[in-house]
Amino acid sequence: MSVHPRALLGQLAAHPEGIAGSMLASHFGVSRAAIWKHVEQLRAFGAPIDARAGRGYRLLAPLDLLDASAIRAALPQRVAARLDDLDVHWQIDSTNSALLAAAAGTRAPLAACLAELQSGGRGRHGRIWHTPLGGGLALSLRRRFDAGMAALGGLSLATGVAVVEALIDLGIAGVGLKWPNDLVADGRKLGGILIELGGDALGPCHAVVGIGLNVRIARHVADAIGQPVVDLASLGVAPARNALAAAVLARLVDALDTFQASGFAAFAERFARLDALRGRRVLVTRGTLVREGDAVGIDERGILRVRDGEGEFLVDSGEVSVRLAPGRAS
Amino acid sequence: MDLRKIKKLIDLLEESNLAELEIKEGEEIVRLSRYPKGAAPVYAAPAAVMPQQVQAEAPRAVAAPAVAEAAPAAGKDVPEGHTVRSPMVGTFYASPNPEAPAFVKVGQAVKAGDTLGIIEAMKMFNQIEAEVSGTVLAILVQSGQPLEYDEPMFVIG
Repeated sequence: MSVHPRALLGQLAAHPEGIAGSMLASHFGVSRAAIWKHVEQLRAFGAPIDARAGRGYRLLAPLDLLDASAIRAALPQRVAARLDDLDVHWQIDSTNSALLAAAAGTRAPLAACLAELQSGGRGRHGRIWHTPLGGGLALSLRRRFDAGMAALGGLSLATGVAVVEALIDLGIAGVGLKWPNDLVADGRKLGGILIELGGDALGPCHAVVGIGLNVRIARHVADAIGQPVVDLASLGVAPARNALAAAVLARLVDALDTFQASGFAAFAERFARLDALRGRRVLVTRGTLVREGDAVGIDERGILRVRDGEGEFLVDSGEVSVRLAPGRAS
Repeated sequence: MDLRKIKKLIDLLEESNLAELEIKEGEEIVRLSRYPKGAAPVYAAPAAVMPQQVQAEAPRAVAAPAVAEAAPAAGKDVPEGHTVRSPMVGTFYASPNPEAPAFVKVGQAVKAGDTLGIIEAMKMFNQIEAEVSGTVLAILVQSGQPLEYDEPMFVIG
């Protein structure tokens, strides 16, 4: 017999007063030591499980777990009908990688993938994206595009617009976009976007749009991340993660349709309203060269415009990192 | 770059149907050419004195015509010598992250579908895959270098 971590959490959730290790052991047909091992692993992932002699195991706070059918049920019918695959994994190396790997063997135009735990979630340059159990949302959507990769410039910005609009749908205000792909609030990072492309570079290709959002991040976890972060809970509203996933997917599917039809032009104005860098002092790094200037918005292709003493220059690609200049960061 | 490595490159060039082969490794550039006939002149150009920006730009100007010559020769007569070109404007990355080793090295065997590098533009990452199986004969771009559309990146033969 084996114990699926999700089933174990389900048993704990069903006994809010606590449940003895021996009861769990007989339920799953394993030893008490095995139960203890699984509980320890869940605790290592951040599950708030109390273990006390005589009282057994107890969940200290309800866990908000993902559920594919709950997400589907919360989607608008027109979106649910088009979403061929919607997979929720317990643990996966990365939701983006799963969709990229599956792309070759399918003709499905739309597929979504979510995971409770990502062991290899990636940010820019392969940095690890932290998703504590139940504390974040890791969601990827794959869509086919027919016009080749060169037509997809600005897709990360359009995605950001869709996510912020989904949050507004849920009553969460005050979230902005830091070019090219971070979601920020109060000058701290709320989430990020990572897009990976595959298929024919000049013809039909697919984009896998990956989104990571902080929903509830414990302070000690936030402190360990190494950059200022913020979660939805501290912005006032922590939506149920299934409702959050559905809201993001609904906006994203629509946004990618619009992008296929009209490109970034349809998003330029909406991005400008959410632009958290505009008017801020920024550092643009190219290799070892650093240039400082004032961000003055984006152009119609989504390229960042920065002005310094010598005039305006354009920042369009990833050898450039944009950071709020010291002394001005909030 | 040591002499053994350059000798290896000469062997690679001789085994292939390329007219020229140019390798950049950090600040060193080695370009091998079959012309004039019978001789394979070698020159190594230490680029250490060049300022950073010029360094990034100048080798590209040299690299492009070299491959333009090589590509038709390889593409028509022999299935080997396939040039992989950039599908988009962006920044080239040779490895999945700064700490990791490069996806491929010159002389390495690759299968069609293997990842050769990544191009990033505005946080979109495009994994560049080998379209053919063979040996990586030349890497024409450096990690961190800006790329133009259609710019030659790899030669596989």
